[in-house]
Order: sequence, then C-alpha cells, then structure tokens
Amino acid sequence: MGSIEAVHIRNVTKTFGSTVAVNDVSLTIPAGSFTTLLGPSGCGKTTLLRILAGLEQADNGQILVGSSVIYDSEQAINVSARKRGIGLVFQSYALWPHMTVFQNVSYGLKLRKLSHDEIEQRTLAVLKTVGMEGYEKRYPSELSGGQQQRVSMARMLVVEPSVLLMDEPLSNLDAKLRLNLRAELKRVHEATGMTIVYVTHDQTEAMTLSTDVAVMNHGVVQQWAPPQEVYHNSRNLFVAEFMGTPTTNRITGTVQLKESRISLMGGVASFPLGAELQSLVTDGETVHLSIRPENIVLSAQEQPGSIPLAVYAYLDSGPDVHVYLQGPDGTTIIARDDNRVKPGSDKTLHVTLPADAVRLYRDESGDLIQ
Amino acid sequence: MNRRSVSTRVRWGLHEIVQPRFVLNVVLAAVLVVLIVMPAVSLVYRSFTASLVDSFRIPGVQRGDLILHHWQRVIVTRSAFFVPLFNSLLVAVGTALVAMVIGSALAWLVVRTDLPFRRSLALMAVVPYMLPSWALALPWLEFFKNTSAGRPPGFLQVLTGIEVPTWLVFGPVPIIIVMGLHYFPFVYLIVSSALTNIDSQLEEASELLGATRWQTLRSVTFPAIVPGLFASLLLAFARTIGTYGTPALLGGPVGFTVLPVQIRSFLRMNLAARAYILSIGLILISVVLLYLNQRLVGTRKSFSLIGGKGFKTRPVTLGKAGPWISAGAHVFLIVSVILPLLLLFWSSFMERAGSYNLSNFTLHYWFGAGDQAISAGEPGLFRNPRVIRGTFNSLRIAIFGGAICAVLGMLIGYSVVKGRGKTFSQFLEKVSFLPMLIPSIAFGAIYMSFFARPIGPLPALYGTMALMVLLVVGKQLPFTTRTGISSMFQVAGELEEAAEISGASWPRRFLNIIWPLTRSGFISGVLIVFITTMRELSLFILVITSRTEVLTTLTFSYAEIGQQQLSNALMTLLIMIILIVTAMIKLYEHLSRRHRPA
Repeated sequence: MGSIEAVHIRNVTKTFGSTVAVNDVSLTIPAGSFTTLLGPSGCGKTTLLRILAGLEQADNGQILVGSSVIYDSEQAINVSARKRGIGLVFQSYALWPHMTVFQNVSYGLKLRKLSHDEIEQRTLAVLKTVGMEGYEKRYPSELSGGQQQRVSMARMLVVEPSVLLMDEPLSNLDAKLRLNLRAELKRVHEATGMTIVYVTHDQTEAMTLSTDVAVMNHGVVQQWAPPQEVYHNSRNLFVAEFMGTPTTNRITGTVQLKESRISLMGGVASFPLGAELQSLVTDGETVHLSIRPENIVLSAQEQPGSIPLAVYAYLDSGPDVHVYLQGPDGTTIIARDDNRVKPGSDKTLHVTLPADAVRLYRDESGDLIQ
Repeated sequence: MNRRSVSTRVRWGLHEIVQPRFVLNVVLAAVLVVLIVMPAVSLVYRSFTASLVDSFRIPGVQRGDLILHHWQRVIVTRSAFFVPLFNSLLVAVGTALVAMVIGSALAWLVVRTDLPFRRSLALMAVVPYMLPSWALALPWLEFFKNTSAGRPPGFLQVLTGIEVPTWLVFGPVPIIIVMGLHYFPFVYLIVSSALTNIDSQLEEASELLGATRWQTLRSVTFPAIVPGLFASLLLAFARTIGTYGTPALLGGPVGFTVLPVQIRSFLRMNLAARAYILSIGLILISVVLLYLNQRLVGTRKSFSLIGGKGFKTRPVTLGKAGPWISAGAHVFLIVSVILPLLLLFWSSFMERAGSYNLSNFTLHYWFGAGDQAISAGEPGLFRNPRVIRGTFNSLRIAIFGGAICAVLGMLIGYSVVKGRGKTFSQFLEKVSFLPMLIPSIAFGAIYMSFFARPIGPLPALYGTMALMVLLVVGKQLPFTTRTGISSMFQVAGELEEAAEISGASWPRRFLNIIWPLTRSGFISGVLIVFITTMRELSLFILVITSRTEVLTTLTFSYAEIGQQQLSNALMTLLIMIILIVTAMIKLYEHLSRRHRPA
C-alpha cells in the first residue's frame, strides 16, 4: 500500500447464471494512469470493477497489482477486499450516515491504529485536497451531492490505496456540478499521481478525463487505447457509434472496384476508394462509411465530388449548429457546421466528405478496414 | 382554474355545501366524533363521576356527582395502581428485550446471510404473530404445570417426574418468555425491513478500508438498524403493556397482577371509575412511548436519506458454521412455535388432564355429548351451543367489522387525499389515527364507559353485537385509513380529474374510476381486520356478555375455570381458522398481483 502500482488483468471471465458479464478480458492498466472502462449499461464494466475491488469473485483468470497476485483462479488465490489495498468510490457515495465527515474519512486510519495526531493531520490534509476543509463536523445528510462525492473520495484517498477505483461517481449529480467535479477529479489525479480505474457510460467524461479508455460491450473489451485514438480511429462500428454526441454518421455503400469507388445512397452519390484499401475489399462488398459530424464540410455551391442533400432541420444551439440532411434514399446525415453556411432557396446544401476523416467498416464483423 | 378560484371565494355558498365531497366530509367527521372523540372524553368524565354504588358507599354523594374520590383511592392504595404498574413495566421491559434479541438475530440471519434454509426460518418466524398473543400460554401450562396446588401434572412432570418450581410455571418469568415468543416476529419484521434497506455498499466501503466482518457489523451495520431496533422495542413494549390474556392466565394464580388484569377486576368489583383511571394511565404510557418513537424517526443521521441508486446486496457468508446455525435456529423455532401447538392439539384428546397414556384418548372434547362425568357436563366443541354461537359471533363481528372499517378507511382516505393541507382533512387524518395510541384493553374500557347508556337517539349498546362491531371498527380504523390513504393517493389525483373533465358526476367517478382501482386495497383491508379480530381477546374481554361471547373470550373463560382440554381444543380450532384464512389471504394477494395490469 502507498506506492502507485499498475494493474494486470489476464483472461478474466465472470458469468452470472447463463449471462457472461465479463468475457475473457485482458488489460494492463499502467501505473499512474487514469483508465476508463466505458460502455453502455450492462456491458460488464461495473462487474469488472467489483472484481478488481474483491467484491465479486471472477470465475477464471488472474489479476496482479504491481507484482503481487491478488486473484488467480488456477492457484486458487483470492485476496479478500479488505487486504487488497484498493479503494473504491461508489456511485451512491455510500457514506455512513451516522458518522460525521471527519469520522467517515478517518475510519480507515483508525482501523490501521494510527496515532491520534497522525489521524487528525492526514484526515484534514485529504479533506483539503478534495476541497472539503471546514466540513469535518457535518453529517452526510447535511451535504450536497457534490460535497458527499468529495468526501467519499477523501475517505478512500486517505489510506493511500495503490489503486483507486471509481464507479460512475458523477452520475448522480446534476449537469453543472458534474462539469465542476470533472475538473476536480482531473486535478486530484494530477496531484496524487494515483492509478485510477474509472467506470462510466458517459463518453464525454471518458474523453476528457482519461489517459486510456477501454470501451466494453457484452463483457468484451472492444478497443483499448488513448481517448483521441478511440475517437478518431475507432476499431469497429460499435465503438465508432458509441463515441461522440451526436453520434457518427453511418452511410452504407457498395464497393465498385472497377470504378475505384463506393457507390452510396442507391447510386446517386459515390466516394472514391483509396488505392491502399482496394486490396482489402472485394467487388460488390457492402461497407459502412463513418464520418463524424464535425468533419463534414458544407457549402452552398456545388464542389468537386460534393453530394447535394436536402436540409430538413437546422438546429442552432448558439456555440454550434447541427444540420440534419437527408439523401434521396432516406439516409440521414448530421453535420456540425461552425461556419453557419445557410441553405439556398432550394433548401439544399452540398456535402463534401474529406477522405482523411472517413473510416470504412465491414458489414458483417463491423471491423475497421485498414 | 377559473372554477376553482370562484369556488374558493364563495366557499360556504350553497353550491359548496351540496357538493358530495362536502357532505361526505361532514358525515365522516360525525362518525369519527362518535366513534373516537366522544368515547375518549367520556372515559375521563366517567372517571370523576359517582356511580349508583358510590352513592350508597360514600356519604353525601349522589349518583352522577363529580368526585375526586376514585382518583385519590387509586393513588393512595398501593395494590390498586403502583403494584400493577410496576408489574406491567417489568413484564413489558422483559418481553421487549426477549423479543428484540430473538427477532433481530433471526432478521439478520434471514436477510443478510447465506444461511441454508433461511426461507423456512422466515416462514416460521411470522407464525406466532398470526396467533392470539396468549396462544402459547396454554401449552406452557400444559407442559410445565406442577402439582403443587392440587393441579394435574404437566407433560414435563409426567415424563421426568421433576416437579417444576412454581416461579417457572406462574408469574413474571413465564409471562415474559411466552409474550416474548409472541412479539418477536414484530421485531423480526421491522428489523428485517431495516436490514433490507441498508445499502450494502455502506458495508463494502468499510471492508475496502480494511475492516474485518465484525468491525463492519459493529460500526456500520448495527448503527444502521438502531433506529429500527428502538422503534420495534418501543412498539413491542407498547403492545405488551395493553395485553390481557397471558398475564391473566400465568399471573393470576400466584396473584401477580398487571394493569389490564387490574382494570378487569375493578370492573368486576363494580368500581368502573377506577378501571377507567387505570385505562387513562395505560393510554398515557402508550402515548409517551409512541411519541418517543416518533422522535427517533427522522434525525439528521437518518439512514433513509442516502443511498438509492446503485443498490446492491451481498449476503454475508457463514461458511462452515452455516448449517449448524441453521439447525440451531430451526430447532429453536420448532420447539418454541410448532411443538407447543402440537402439544395443545394432543392434550385436547386426553380425557383426564395430565395422563398421556393412549388409554386416556378421547374425542369427547371435540365431538362428545354433554356428560356429567367429564368436564362438568360441557359437551364437545362441535355439539356445544356456546361454542357454535361463539364461532358465529366471531365470524359475524369480524366480517361486519372488517367491511365497515374498510369502507370507512377508504372514504376517509379519499377525503384526506382530496383535501390535502386543509384543516378538515388534517382533522380526519389525525383523529382516525388516535386509536393507535390506545391499548386494546383501554379501548374496551372506553367503549364500556360511553356506549353503556343511551346517547341521544342511540340506545344503550351494552351487550349487543353492534357494540362489538363498533369496537372493531374504532380500534382498527388507523390501519384501514392508512391503506385507504395510500391507495387513494394513486387514484384521487389526475386520474379522477380526467374523469371529471370528461364530464363524469361524483358517484359515477367513484364507481367507474376510483372503486375499480382501489378495490384490492379495500379487500386486503377487510381481510386484515378480519384476521386481527378473530384472534383479539384484550379488546373484547371487558365488554362481552353471555350473548356476545366470541371464540377467544370463550377459550379464555374455559381456561380460567380450569376446563383445560376444552380450552386447548378450542384454541386449536381458533388457530386452524386463523391459519386457513391467512393462507386464503396470501393466495388472494398472490392472484390479484398476477392479474393486475402493468
């Protein structure tokens, strides 16, 4: 305890009855990183977190913190939660309502039988770190949600765990507070240098906070990379569509190798197929183009290779504009247009898809073609 | 909007007065005044009033004069008030503690651990609560009874030859044990719901910080259930202190008197005023206890404020100790709940008490005709006119009481919900909850004091079935009102307003919208009152006459005059009726839940 450690997860599987919650997951969480497990509800991220904490037991696999094995199904090792030295910040905060802020935070130190002075000094120090000094004598019910969350973080930080786990810690807060606490979390991570494993279904949170993101679905890690990489080079359609609000545009097309292009929207439009990709696809194969709304270029006049599309909704939120466009076959495309190009009287805008921003995915596997 | 602002201005105009809801409010208020307010006031008034007997006994006093005589006598005579009071408190404290230990241990085992067969424990743990509170007193006597006072021997003495010391047969010790075994389900239910409602993440947080299971139990789990524990302790205490049956049966023979017993003996001695004074004392104790209970709920450390989302429960693993603890708990419940009832059943087939030989077997107490050689000529249950009348009385009182009480509860619920925040609605709500504060025996005394003579157009009801039904209605009103309010909450808002806007008249709305949606709440109200009434003794014991005897009072009077087998047989019959009806209720609830549209 005390030192900052990496976490090695090897082939961890957990089933509940007939459902596989975590399916053969292997990840290495670097020491000092802020790794986020991201995915829709029921994807297994919270289960994985609880397995790390020792609150659930995996069926198979191995987990190491630093060089010490805390779980190994083959050697029948399962270090109990209270001896792992791993902290967990709960979604519901789980502050003990009958204890004051001070008592909540100092509890772990008391269990370690530290001296009275040291307990007081460390408790006050950690309360200062999370910006809760002066609240020592309050009871949890007298604090706001955000304050409760800070205290619950302090309670786990004070014992200096080798790894700090967080289970959707911001999901119970209102939008404004969530933004503030996000900044706070980032600051605490930088101040402590702690290894943090963070669970969320909010991809903006994952993008802004993490050094690494593991996107999960159906108990499987779909992609594990730095957030920008996950966003810009999503490894499959699930990741591409899960990341980003509004979601990425998916345009389905057919490969026409002879013309070196992909025919889109029932043939009224097409997209040039780069030379390096031609060997990876077959003629007539169905593929999906993915392009994020902010990468679409709109113009009022026709451009070389542009597609004329009908505008059916123009949503101006102030800082940015989202334009909803529709192709003749019903394909809907959302573009974020910071230049505020206005459609002409024919309610049409010309859409250009920059080749370097477009990603191609296979129809059956959903994998990135690269 | 417009309509509402107009009607606020002409609030007491003719338009408002003829509105059905206004009429309903007035009728309900009148009913509550007659059922609760006036009887309670009359209790206090009668405690100061000289009776006909007083006018002979006390010089210069006429019947109906206001006198302080009885209050003085009660306070001066130690044996009249202070001794029974002390005994009552002793028994109540003891009972509450016994109930708390058993109830909370069982609750923890069933709710928070992976104990094998905990479902069967949960099932058995609520059985005593369904039975009359003194159901165990009879088998207790049957088992431990000694021959010291010329009584036939109990099972233990027959089996082992040991003469059980009298303090274990009669007096505070057996009373506390028997009542503790009756009231522990009460604690069990409250504590297990408190335990179910703890977010187990509170415990997990402690574990992650390095606490052992015992440290977590002590510093997190236990404080979390303390409010529930205290509440159940106070409520068990409040119930015990108004209970008549067990203390009368197990305390009477050695002169150990508690307040309810003293109240009844004052009434028998024609000292009604003193009985009323003791009833007032009982009510005051109960009010203080329930007030304390209120104060305990909603402190700033309340556990119900936090939690909610991300709620998970993870049972404590007992490991190898599990099967042993499970076996121990099963044996305990079987010995204290199931076996006594079997012993009761068995002894009802014994011609002579205390002889467990097969040759002593008889069906006389169930089917026999009157025979002067056995039990003073009392015929067996199924041929005994008193028993048959008592059964019909019990059923009639329970059915009529249940139905009337449930109807009232629904109507009051409707008025309260519709008039939220208005004085009138608050009056209805508060008054209908008052009987909660009044122990059963005192409630009986209150009705004795009020309905014994004609009131206005109402004839004297003493000795009529009507009085018995009214008693049930008044005493159980808090429960049906609570069901009424909660089921009306879901219906009497926008659902009714939508019908009103569609043009439905009030009776039509009630019939088409409100009734169909609240029917299941109504029926469960009827059933709950029915079942409580079937097992009720303390409420009726003061007011019954030979015409209005019910099963419980009859069972009790047989036990009192030493007709033990008859009494045992009757108790068995009563328990069977209760269990069958309870099973039917469960079945009904199960079915109605299945058929309810989502």
